[in-house]
Amino acid sequence: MFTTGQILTAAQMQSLQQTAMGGGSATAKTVSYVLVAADAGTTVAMNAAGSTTITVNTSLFAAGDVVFIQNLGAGATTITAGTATVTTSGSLVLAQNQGGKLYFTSASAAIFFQFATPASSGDIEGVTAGVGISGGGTSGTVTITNSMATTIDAKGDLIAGTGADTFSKLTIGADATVLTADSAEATGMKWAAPSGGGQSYSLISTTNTNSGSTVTVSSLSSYKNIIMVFNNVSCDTNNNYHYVKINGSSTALDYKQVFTTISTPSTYGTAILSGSSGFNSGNSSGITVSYNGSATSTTLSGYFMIENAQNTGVKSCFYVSKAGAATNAESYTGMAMFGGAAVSSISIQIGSGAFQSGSLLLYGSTT
Amino acid sequence: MKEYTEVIHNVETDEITYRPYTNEEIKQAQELAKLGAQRAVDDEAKANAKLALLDKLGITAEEAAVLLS
Repeated sequence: MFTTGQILTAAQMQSLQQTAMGGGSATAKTVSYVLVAADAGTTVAMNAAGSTTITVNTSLFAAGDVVFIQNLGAGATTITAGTATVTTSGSLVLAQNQGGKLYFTSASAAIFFQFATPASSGDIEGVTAGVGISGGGTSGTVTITNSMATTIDAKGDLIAGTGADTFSKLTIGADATVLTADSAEATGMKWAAPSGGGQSYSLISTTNTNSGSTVTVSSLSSYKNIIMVFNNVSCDTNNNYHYVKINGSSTALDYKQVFTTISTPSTYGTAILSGSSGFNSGNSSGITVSYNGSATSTTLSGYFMIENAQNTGVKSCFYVSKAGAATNAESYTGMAMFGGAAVSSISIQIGSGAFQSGSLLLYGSTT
Repeated sequence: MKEYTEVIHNVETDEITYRPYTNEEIKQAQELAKLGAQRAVDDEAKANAKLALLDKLGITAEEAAVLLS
């Protein structure tokens, strides 16, 4: 310990400078360099555009000697163990404006203490994965992964909660099934067949049937299910069949009737079941829904319904009519199949004369 | 705008248009009219045959209905 009255000699000052103060001269280097004994207590400042090395050899320094190393240049400087041993807990590679202290523990071994580079204000010093993500880190390039996203394996997979902060995958159900709450399931829900309902009809239009031999309601392509109500429809000519046509089609095979019953005011329906398959061979005039008989005052009531009207394949039609009081009037109840394109219009048609009163009420459901 | 006319109601625009039948459609409508008329003839013939049979049997339609019930 230095005490009162002692005199600091030049040698002592030099030793102090070399071992503790880190002072002394700073020598600028622009190429790779091998440390020499005179570097003890000084600063070796590398300043090169390209990569350089500073090599450390034995028998040049004594225990306690210190050499400060700086890299001022753009090129990285690597402290390289020549014949001496150099250890560090940091990095021996110094980027621009990094530095450290090379401390000799013996003539043949040194430890490099790298000066920490403080983070700039606002820099992220670490990323920690929270719930639902994984990964993270405190240095270098950090990757975090959305665990919910990686849980999805296939089209239709859903992520469903299973409790607080937990989730699991619910795979898509079969076609036409619907998502249904079920407390017995781990996710609280499951895919199941719909349990009825779903269709919601509203009145789309009212069309008077007071003229024309054909009355058509068009622009129906947005409706999945359609009901046309015959509201006291009458015509001015006896002996007319009423036909329903879809999309104006005159293709017989588009219309196939089956399971039709025909009733008169005095008899109950006679079942008509045509053809070996149960369908008739079709009718280019459309689907017959009633016959008004001999009385022009006879009115047609009832409805015509078509399901899955937007399908391009065969669609089911159902009809119920009441043709009025004429003795030979006929009411039809039955089913038909329409094989044409998706429904865009529905018409009611008679063969002779014109409609004279009543209306068509059109109800549609988009579901 | 009566016979052989199609009344078209567009439910999107609520517009109503009247379209005369084409010649082909008139021909098809006349076929349908014939079908209806033939049906009336058949109905009348059937009714007359029924009356003749009842007369031959010497019973009324009501009595025949009782027999068939």
